[in-house]
Amino acid sequence: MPTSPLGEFEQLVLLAILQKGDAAFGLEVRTEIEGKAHRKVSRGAFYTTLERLEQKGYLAWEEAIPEDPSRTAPLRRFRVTRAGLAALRSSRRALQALSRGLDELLEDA
Amino acid sequence: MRPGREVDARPPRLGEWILRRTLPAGVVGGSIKGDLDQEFRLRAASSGAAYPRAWYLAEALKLGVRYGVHRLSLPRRPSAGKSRGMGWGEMLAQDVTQGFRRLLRTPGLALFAVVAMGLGIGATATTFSVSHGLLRDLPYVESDRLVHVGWTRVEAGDDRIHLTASELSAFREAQTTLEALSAVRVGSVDLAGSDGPPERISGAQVTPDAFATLGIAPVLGRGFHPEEGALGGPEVAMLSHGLWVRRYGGDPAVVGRTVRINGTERTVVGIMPEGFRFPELQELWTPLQVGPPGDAPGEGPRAYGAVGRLREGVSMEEARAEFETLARRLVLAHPEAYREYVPRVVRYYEYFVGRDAVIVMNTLVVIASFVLLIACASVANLLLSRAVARSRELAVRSALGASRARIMGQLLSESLMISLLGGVLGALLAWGGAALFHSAVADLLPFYWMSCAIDGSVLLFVGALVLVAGVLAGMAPALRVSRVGAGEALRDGDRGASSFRIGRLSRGLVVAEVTLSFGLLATAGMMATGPLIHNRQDLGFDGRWVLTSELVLREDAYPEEEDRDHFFQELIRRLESVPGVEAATLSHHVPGVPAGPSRFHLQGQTYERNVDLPRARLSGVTPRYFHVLDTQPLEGRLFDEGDVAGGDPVAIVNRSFAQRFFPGVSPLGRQILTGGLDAEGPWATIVGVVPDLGMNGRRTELPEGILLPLSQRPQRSVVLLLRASTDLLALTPLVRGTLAELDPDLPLGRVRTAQAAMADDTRPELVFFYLVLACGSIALVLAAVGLFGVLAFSVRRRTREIGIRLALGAAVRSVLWETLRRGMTQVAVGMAVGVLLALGLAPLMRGFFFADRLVDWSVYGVVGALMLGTGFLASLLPAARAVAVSPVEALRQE
Repeated sequence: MPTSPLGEFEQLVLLAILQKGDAAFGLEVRTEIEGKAHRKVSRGAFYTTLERLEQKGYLAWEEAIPEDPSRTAPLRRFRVTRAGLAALRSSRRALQALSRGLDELLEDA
Repeated sequence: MRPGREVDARPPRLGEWILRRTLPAGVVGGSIKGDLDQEFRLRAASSGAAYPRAWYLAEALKLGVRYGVHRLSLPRRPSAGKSRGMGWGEMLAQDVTQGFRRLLRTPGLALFAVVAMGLGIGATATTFSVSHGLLRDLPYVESDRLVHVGWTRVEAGDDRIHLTASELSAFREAQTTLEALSAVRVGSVDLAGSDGPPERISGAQVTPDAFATLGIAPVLGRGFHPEEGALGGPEVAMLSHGLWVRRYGGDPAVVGRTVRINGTERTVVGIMPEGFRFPELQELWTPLQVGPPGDAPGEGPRAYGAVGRLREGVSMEEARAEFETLARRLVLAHPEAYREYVPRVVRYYEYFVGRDAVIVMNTLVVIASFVLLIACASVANLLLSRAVARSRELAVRSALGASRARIMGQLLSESLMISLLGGVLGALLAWGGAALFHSAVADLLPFYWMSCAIDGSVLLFVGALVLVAGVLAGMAPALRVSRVGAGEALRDGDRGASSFRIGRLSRGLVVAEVTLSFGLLATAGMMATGPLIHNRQDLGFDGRWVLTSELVLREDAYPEEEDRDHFFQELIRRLESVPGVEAATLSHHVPGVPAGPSRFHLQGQTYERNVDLPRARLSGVTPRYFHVLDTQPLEGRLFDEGDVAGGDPVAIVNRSFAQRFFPGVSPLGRQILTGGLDAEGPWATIVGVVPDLGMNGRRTELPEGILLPLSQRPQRSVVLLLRASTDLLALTPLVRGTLAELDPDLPLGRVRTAQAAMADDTRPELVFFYLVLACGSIALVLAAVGLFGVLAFSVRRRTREIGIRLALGAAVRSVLWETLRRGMTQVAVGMAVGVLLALGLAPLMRGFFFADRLVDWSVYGVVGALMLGTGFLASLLPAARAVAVSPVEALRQE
């Protein structure tokens, strides 16, 4: 199955969803990216990326029951699909192949 | 969440509304909003509601904008995109957002570009709304079927000749192509009665069928009956809505009441709709009584303006052919009377507005669009220099497979963004400009339907300008940059062949800017010469202290010359005893406003034809005239009490007259005879010479003037002039009272100072002058900034080269000089072409020129000096920066 390459931000989103596992709700995923990648994530860019990844078939979501009873709005739990995982792997392979032998250079000082 | 701190934790309604409108429906949108709500609650719990509410609104707005764009850009089917799954919509959205971001990255440049565009669009839209407002369609029912019937005298160039009474009767009788041929005769009327002081207003006699021809019915009462148009018919009148409200407080009972019009009791039968006036600004109508033809067809006053409505299915040509046939009968019967006369049947609109006005107004719009062109050129230049800086990036992108169309689209979206913002600014400017223009000329507009404002068609025009300007400004850079081959750009760095070619393009743009601004400023200068020169010139009197008003004695009240003379003398005697009045006089013209020209004979000369006779402005004045203007004779004497009707005919000429017709000799004792070739004596002896006294107003044409004693040239229409020691306008009630003692039915005309009358006289030209001047100044500023930009860019590009030359010992002066020379060459070339442009515009704009010639080289000289000075300043800074380059810095630069 041919996969179109992932953008950097798309990778971050997919990885964050995997990290959060069963707690991969919108707000949590975004907080995860902001916390781990140390970057500000624009709300608009975040949700439109989710939508794009869904259209590409890289992620899926189901409606979840909020634990917080005061929350009345719907809640979505995201998960990475098989194709999404494959795309992540292929991106990672490319990254690794290109980084080979550059450890000294790329290692944090 | 800490309990007890739960302040109003509701998100702002506006924010929620925005989200509802922009987010997708269902769970997706709901969950996005839910996430935002959740975050909001957390924030509200820790810091109170006020700040999070603002934050929520901001987030909702950002999200809304982003989602709006995103949803626009979604491809219809997931697979419809190109290689990366992008639809054209998404590409467009990306281009727009990227263009917007790039603009924000250089806010100074973006601001300048938007302001430049805004000024250009604003200037064009303002003149368009002026032109659109003045060239508006006539406000009558199916006005394109209305035609005007009159005559043209080909040799005299006069095409607005009305019909005589007998011609009107003949045409009305015989014509078949028009539903009716109605007629109107304009004249001022004195309206009196118990409802207020007597008032002079502009009125008209109309045939009873006239309003039906126009398709306008009265709002109150009835129109005229046919029998009211017969000789000896009932004395009735109709009023305009404005007059009805102003004088009668809008009382419906006025219909049926009697008012005194020109001394005759008339019954008001109807009120016309609000805003309606006819044929120009007239406000009161009485039936025109056309009797059986008494005079021969070519004789009698040509006072009847004829208007008809084409019958259904009849063309303009058929009507024209019929009236030509009718006219030919007259010409055959009376060949002498109709020599040179050709019938003229035109659309009523064309009769009112005229081709010249259309040409002039369109010229103005074209001139203003020049400014827009300049703005486009400036923006193009800016974008070009930035595009060059990005040429490497663009080359990489095109090497990676971005299509040329895609790259051009990106560059274009940027310029469209600028023109869109500029359009908003321009529309605002035009709104203000049109309002300003309208308030400046509102009381001068000859027809009530003319009004200048922003309406739908102006906005549509602005929209079109935005599109055209955006494409114009973006096309040159886009084409230029996208054409540069990838290899070339990558190899080239910031210098070399590609940027050289771009440099030539932007230099061309600067030359064009200089050309256009020179053309506009020189034209504005030509429009200004008259008033500006004459403002400074000593008119020979101080117009601030002279009060003027017009008086017209009705023929029925003052049938004989002695009656009028007696009335005038008594009026002056009484006015001079009013406290505060220093002197009072009568004249045929307001000093400072052009007096009517007349031909005259010089003693000892013979003339073959009428056109060989010399011309001068002619006016009659009383002896006190010179006292009112506080003028002393330059030579000879002034008029005195002995210069009366029966006395020796005398004349006084002004300085220009003496210099022109008696150079080097004294005109005293010479004789002149005013009038055409067939004028009969008596010859008047010149007894004095006075200053010019503004007899040509503020125009330069025909300053020569002749003054005659008023009593030796009596007229029923005179101007009353007062010189006062107190506040002039406060005298108005006293003057009115004095007049009422003598004749309670005689209204006082418009009261204003001579200076105000002069200003009114030249206001239309001045308003248009300011319009062109504003356009020209904007153009000049844009050209200066453009020049600065090009030079600064070229200096920056050549920093390295300049540094090396300086390091190798080149004189600072030569580097400085070279940059200056580049700049001034562009200015000089632009000016040379600009002279041609100005010369080309002159014949089109001559209607606005005060001077009687088309070219005034001193004006061109002043404008040229201004351009050179501006060009010099604009070149100086980049030149200074060039020599300030440190060789070390320059070499280090990549």
